Amino acid sequence: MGSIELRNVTKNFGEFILDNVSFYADSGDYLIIFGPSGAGKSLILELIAGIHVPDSGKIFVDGVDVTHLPPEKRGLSIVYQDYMLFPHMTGYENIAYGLKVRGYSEDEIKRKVNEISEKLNIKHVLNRKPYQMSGGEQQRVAIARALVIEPKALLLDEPTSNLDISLKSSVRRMLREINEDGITIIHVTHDIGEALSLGKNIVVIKSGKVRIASKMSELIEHATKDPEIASVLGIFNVFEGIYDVEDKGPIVRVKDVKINVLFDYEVGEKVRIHIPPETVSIFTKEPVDTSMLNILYGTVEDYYLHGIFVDVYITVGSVSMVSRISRNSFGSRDIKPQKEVYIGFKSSSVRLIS
Amino acid sequence: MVKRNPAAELVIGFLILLLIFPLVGKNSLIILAAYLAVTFVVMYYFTRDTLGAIVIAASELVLFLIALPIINALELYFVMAIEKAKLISFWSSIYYTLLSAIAAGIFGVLLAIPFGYAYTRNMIPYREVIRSIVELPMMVPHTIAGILLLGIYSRTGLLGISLVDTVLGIVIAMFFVSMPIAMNYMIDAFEHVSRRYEYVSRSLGASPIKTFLYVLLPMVKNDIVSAFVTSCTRAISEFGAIVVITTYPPVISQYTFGILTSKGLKEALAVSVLTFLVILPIIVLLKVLSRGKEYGKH
Repeated sequence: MGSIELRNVTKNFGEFILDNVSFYADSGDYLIIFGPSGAGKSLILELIAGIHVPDSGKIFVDGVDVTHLPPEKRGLSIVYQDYMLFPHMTGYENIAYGLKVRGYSEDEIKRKVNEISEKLNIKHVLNRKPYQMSGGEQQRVAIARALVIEPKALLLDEPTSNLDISLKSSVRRMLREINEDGITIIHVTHDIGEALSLGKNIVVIKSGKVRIASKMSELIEHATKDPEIASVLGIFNVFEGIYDVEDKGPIVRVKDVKINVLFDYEVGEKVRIHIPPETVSIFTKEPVDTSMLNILYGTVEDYYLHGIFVDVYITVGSVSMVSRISRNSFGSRDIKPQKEVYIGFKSSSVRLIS
Repeated sequence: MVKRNPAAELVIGFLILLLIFPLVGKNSLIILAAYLAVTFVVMYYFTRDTLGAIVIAASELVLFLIALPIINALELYFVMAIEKAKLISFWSSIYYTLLSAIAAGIFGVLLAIPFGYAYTRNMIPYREVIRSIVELPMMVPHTIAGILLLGIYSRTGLLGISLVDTVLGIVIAMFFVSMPIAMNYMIDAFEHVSRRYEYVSRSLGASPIKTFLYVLLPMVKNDIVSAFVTSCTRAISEFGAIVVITTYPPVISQYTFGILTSKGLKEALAVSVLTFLVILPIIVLLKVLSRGKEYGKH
């Protein structure tokens, strides 16, 4: 149970246009819909849920055309990032709501609500109103409310974006467990870390179009064919160059920069490479006594702090590279724009993409 | 020097003064002017805040203009008002006023709920225009509102059904001028309830009707009560629209006006005080009852 397919769906929402979108989530899939913030990703979920009807194209659930079925007949549960718990109902009443409107008996409702509450560890909030619950509790109640009706799929709209970092990992674990129970999940996010840690498959949407639809494991490979998408995904240091072999070994020429590599390829052919930024070190003096074959001289353009890492943008010749270093080494090297530095990385760090 | 704000003391002092004004008669104006000047000077001396001095003095002037007529009547005509409680005609007009106002309030809210929902969910074309049309009865002089109604509900009117001198006529007149208030309340209420509550409810299996009854209505429950209370109070105070349609049975606004024209100011003041004493507790009670928790408003 629970496959979902969008086939050539087009919908004009006014400020946002979904253009000929197709993708498929198999039963039991964990599909990430990834896109930049404010790109109307929630509207895609609402389209799947049946709240909006596409201008053209079709939506299938378990192979059945549901394009014109109202939301209450689709059996898909939507969970919004701000949970949307009914404020006048207790936790119990919120969870029981879907069963009540479907006409389940009181006994059955009680049994099912208790079962799901036990599983999601929210028995203690069943008698509380939403405003008496923490953000994490509200979210688990919202997910319990969505799951208790045994939906064909769970549609999640940025489920962790309102939670503390400390809660995010436990929510991810919970979502993974729910998916392992066989429930199809379609999860909208703009957080690539979340996407990578949860998704089995991913659909990248930009400007209303599907740019990538692939297995998560093949995402980087796909993304690097599209530099714009690579930067949206936070994938840096993807370059296109010409493969060559010199005396010292194989190299790739990226514009005016020579990069030593280890892999074999056809000489003179175009090649795409990826140098993970965390493998690129920064030195303030030319390093001696290093096993790194690639030592390049460049100028710091800018840097961005995020969490315990710093992304430093360095211009080498006419190529811009990113080095991801820890805050500690960032501080000890006194890195600032216009500073001249050396960067180094091993030949083995350079990955062949195509 | 310790910096302090004497605003509270000054305003309390003025409230006490308000109680004294009715006893000192014409000299009140001189005392008022003096106290406002003192307020300004004292405020400025202690706070060096010109704006603060102006707004506190202005607030006292508001109290004088609005509260004094009420305090004056209550203080000087209280005993006479109690005497008037023996009048059966008074109680009968109170009865018809409350009965009609409650009926008009219920009727108004019952129609304002679906209208407000349709309005906020963009189901009404040219909704701004249509809203302005519904608001018109509040804008025009209320005698005109009454005359417009006569054009429909009199023997020579459009429908040929005469509501002249009937309780239903009073109710229709009250509805005409108070329903727009209920409408604005309900539009405001539904505008503050995110549509996502409806979407979630629908995706959980509820039909639009069930979603409306189980999710939306409970969320705007307090607004419904407020809409009812406010339109009721508006209906109670109505005079112009009603007097055009009916003279009998008289509602309280007509009854007191009748006393004023036939028996003079003192009698009318006494009846007014009595009305005040009867109606005010009811309105206060309703307002207190309607104050509840605000749910899910963004």
